[in-house]
Amino acid sequence: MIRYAEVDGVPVLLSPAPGPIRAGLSFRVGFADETLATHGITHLVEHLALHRHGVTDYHVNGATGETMTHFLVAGDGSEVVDYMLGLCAALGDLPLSRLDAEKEILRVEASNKSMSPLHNMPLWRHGARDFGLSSYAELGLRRITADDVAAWSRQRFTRQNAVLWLTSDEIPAGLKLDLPDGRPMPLVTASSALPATPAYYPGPQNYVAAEMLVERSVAASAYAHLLQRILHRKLRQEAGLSYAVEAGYATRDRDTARVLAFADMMPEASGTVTNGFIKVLRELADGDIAEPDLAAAVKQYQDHIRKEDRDAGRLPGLAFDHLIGRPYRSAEETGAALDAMTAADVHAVAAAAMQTALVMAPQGRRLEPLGLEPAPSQSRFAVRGTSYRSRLDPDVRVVVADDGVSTTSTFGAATVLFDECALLIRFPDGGRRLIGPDGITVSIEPGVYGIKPAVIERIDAAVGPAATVTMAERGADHIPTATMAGRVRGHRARLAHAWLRARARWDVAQFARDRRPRTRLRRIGRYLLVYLIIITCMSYAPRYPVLVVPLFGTLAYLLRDLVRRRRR
Amino acid sequence: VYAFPALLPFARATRRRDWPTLRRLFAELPADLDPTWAVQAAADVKGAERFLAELVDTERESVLPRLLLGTRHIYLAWEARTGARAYAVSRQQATLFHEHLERAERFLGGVTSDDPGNVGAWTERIAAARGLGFGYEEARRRYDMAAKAFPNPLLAQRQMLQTYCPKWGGTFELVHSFARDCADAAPAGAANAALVADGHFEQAAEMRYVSEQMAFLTREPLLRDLSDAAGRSVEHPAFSPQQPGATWARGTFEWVFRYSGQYDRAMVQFTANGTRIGGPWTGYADPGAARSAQRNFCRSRAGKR
Repeated sequence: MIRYAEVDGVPVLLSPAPGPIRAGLSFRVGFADETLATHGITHLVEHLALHRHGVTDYHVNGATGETMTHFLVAGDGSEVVDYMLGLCAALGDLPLSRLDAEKEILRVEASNKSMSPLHNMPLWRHGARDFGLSSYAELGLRRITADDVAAWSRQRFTRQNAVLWLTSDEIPAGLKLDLPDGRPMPLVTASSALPATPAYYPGPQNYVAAEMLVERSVAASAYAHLLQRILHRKLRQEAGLSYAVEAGYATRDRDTARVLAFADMMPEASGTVTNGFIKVLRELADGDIAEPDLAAAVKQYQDHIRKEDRDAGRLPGLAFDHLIGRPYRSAEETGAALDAMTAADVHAVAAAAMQTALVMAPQGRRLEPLGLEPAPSQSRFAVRGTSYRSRLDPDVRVVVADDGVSTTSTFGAATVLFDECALLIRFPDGGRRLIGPDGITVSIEPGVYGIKPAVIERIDAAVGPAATVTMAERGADHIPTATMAGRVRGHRARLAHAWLRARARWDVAQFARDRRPRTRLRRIGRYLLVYLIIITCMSYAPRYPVLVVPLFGTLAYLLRDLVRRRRR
Repeated sequence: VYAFPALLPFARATRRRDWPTLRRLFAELPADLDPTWAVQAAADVKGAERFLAELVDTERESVLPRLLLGTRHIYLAWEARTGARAYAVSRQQATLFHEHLERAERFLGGVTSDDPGNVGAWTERIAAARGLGFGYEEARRRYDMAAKAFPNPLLAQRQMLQTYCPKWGGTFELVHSFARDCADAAPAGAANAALVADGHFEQAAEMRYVSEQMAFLTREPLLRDLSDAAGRSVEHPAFSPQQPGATWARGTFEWVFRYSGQYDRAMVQFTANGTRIGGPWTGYADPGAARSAQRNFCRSRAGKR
């Protein structure tokens, strides 16, 4: 049950629920609207707007999401009104004097946030932009000015981008939403850093996860329920190798939702669990869906939507849908669609989902045999310019050119072009880190590569201040330098590889030689020579002890020849 | 590859480090020719990897440099590994082999992501999957992609046949059924049916003695199989010696006819191929000597019986 109204040009969604009124003023803005260089600005506006509500008797909160920012309150009607009036006033006139303090608070908040094992997934799928930004720290805070914040708030926190929702029958008396006018902001389109899917990327040893993109539909929701059910049964109940096995469905934009599946394991079982996990995805995609499983999943889903105050619980989501123009669907309509759904529909969703899958597999586990391509961790090309060899690993070089920088090694190249650089991170000691739109990072450490300050300055100038943040001073033990031990290690590795190549070349030559047809005459000649050397060495060894060396050499040769001939 | 003169300019262009010509040659490839032939011709040039690596960095929009460099690394990988049996490959060789294949896989994987219809890249990726031990199911996925991009891709089929061999973890049942499927799908007069003979050669090559091989190859169902395959390919009136796989197909039948005691038929193939060497002979230490010895043997036996 949901009712629509309007207050001061802001749409209002009403759906009653027991308890105190929960209300939220939601804006169509989130991380995904930022760039890496402004990342954190929405969160900062949210904090500034709520600053004056720091001490209240009722419960208030704010939440900055991917595409929506919510200002939340719980209390009675007058408290909601009080909160909304204060909030709108704050949004119209942000306490910008608090900027530095709030930035610091945000930094503390970020440093204490626990890192989910999946936090890198958006980066692998989208790169260092729009939906991928949630993988990144709010580095933009270091360069955002009061003007930036004011401009962002004026553009995004407007009447046209707002929606109010309340768990109540009616709008509390005296409610006014005095927001600035603006224009509706379209949803960002998700970019992709994955040239081919299904793909996988390396993650920790104790988790496997997969994210799939599906079209928003009841069949897709049912697919998520089904996936949860089967994964739970196979990995936890039958194999007993996983504890947390989850699969869930979450909307992303107007037509797309994500299905995220996840299982944990002990590192020693990572192979079995990963293979089992992907096998389940594959089987569903191939249409191997057992009727009882599907029926149970549908029933679970039916129970879920038939809940009394379901709409009240999903008001923030409905508010989002309302803003982006997706029509509301009641529980009855959803139930009817679910009844009309067939196994074939779920199969179609599963097959399409598999084609978009991004799997996080334990590092070192290759999934090519399962038909998954590795997500690119390298650039397609390197720039051509001046190259600086690493003093730690002689195979690694930094290349600085007019159009960009690269690091190259035997494993491939990482390239960031200046004109598309998402962020340049400057360290006062001269270290630089460039992040490309695809999430590829190039680290430049003058201490390791011997790069002169003039070159660093050229890089700074080429990227420009709009995409640059300056970090705090690094501690001496955090600045990479070429220590003597490191240099020795590097050169030893290089020597080992050179030796390996030489050995391999020798083996190839041996193989060619062994296959060459030998004439008897040549063989006799060879043996004559060998025995001649042996006899000469033996007879002169007492006088010239150094002759022991060729003596043993030829003996070793004979022995080796004998072994070889027997093997053949 | 060099038995097909139309491909010589590709190797020449790489040798001369001539990118404009290379690009033009690839753009002008006839639609009915599997581009993999040209890719292999251009990549099988000693020392080309430096030039190709440079192209990858400078010609950023084109997938061709990456395709050629990836293919070059496949060649380098097998150059490091040699054609020896696995037990005779040293640890150092194996390491180098894998290093090259990893690089090839990276370049070629990039090509197939950007251009999923690139039959050349899919074909080379079959070899990479085999060398990296991904198993024949993954190789088959890659073969299917190649076959989707180009009908009856002979080179991909040859790679796939190798992958199905027991030495790479398959079985001979898979080899023969795959060869038969390819032969049936190909139009009459195409070289593809020679895969059936190739499969039998692979099985015979596992045997130690010539007597054993001949006993195996002269079994009745097998002879019928070979005759059918030859009738669909080299002995079919529509068989064109101008197709790029002709030398390989004839070379394969030279070998199997020789070792199944069908000296007359072998002689027909020997004569048609002239001095060109293809098929199983290339695996001998001295292909030319081996082939001419067997040709002389066949000539002495032909016509008698």
